Amino acid sequence: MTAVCHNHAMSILPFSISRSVKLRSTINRSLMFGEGVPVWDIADDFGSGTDMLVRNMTQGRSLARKLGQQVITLMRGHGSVVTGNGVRQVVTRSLNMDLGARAQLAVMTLGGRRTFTEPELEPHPELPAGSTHDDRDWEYFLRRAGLNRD
Amino acid sequence: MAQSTTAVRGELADANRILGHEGILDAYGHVSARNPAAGDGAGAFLLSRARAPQLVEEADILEFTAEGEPVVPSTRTLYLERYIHAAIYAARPDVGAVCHSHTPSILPFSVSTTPLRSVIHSARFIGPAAPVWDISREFPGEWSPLVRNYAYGASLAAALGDGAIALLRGHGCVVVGRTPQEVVSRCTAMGKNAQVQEIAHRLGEYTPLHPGECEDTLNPGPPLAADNRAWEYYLRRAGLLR
Repeated sequence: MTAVCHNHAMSILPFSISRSVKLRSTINRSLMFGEGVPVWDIADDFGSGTDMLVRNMTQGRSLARKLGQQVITLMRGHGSVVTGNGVRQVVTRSLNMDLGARAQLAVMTLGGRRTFTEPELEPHPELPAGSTHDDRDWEYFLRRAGLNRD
Repeated sequence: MAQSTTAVRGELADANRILGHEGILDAYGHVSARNPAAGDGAGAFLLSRARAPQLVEEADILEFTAEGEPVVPSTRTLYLERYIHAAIYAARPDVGAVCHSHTPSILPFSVSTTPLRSVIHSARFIGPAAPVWDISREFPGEWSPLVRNYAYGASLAAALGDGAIALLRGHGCVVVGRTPQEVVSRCTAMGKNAQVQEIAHRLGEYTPLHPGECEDTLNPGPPLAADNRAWEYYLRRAGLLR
């Protein structure tokens, strides 16, 4: 991992405190959620009297252990960390995290859930030409933020 | 450390416009600041004339006495509920700014028996259960929800107690802090906390902040550097960064 985003995105916060529902994949863009995103609870290792902030390396390491090999970990009552290989990927993943959380809430409202099949969940290293979209995303995000320098 | 009345007036005008821009206040609601020059004929606190907060300019901001009346008699229309501010400043020497809002996300909690409570760290100031002040219980026979005299304001201030927030049943809330910046940060965090809590409640069981994780609002420690970070951000979003 070469890039990390720590955020307080509104859409994932309910899942960071819910004991009933895990943040999990519902759409293609949120496959990284898998069957349930882990939640790091600062009270587990550091008691129930902290100010919730990750203030030192000991707390940071505890969070990193919870992350393990995952792409994303929620932080109870606080937010999440999203990791990636490069700034562009971490931006795309962070925005996909938001889309995925909002999609899951909408699915729960609508009821029922069509799940992904095993082949859909397998890693597929040989994508057809034109289906890698990180650069396309990046150009789009730059434009939206008024940052493209063409 | 002590600021001038002029400086606080400028911050208060910005706070009005930010809270309007962020959707905490709409055409109604108001935010005030204690006058650092209070006493010797100067007003106890500063508050706009009756105007939508997002439109408030420094020239709209008037001085009010500790009883909630304008220091200089004014022909301008005044906020009917200015006694909220007067009574809270009288009861709480630690408070330097007060916001009264009708923020949509907190309104359900002012009616429901499910208390608004801290569920996210930025809203640590709410605590395990925001008190709800019910005007119809405090003043039987009262037909209006409005805090339209000093006695009503004092009753609300008593419900607020040592806390940083109190809800007004079916009406809105009051949020207090040491500075306009702290009140702005608290109000925006309050709105987010309410949204997150409502969704988590619909999902089922949830873990709020533990009591020890909530803020001791009477002994809050030095203001977080994050308040200045937030203030710059909100100024920019509201088009006020100079």
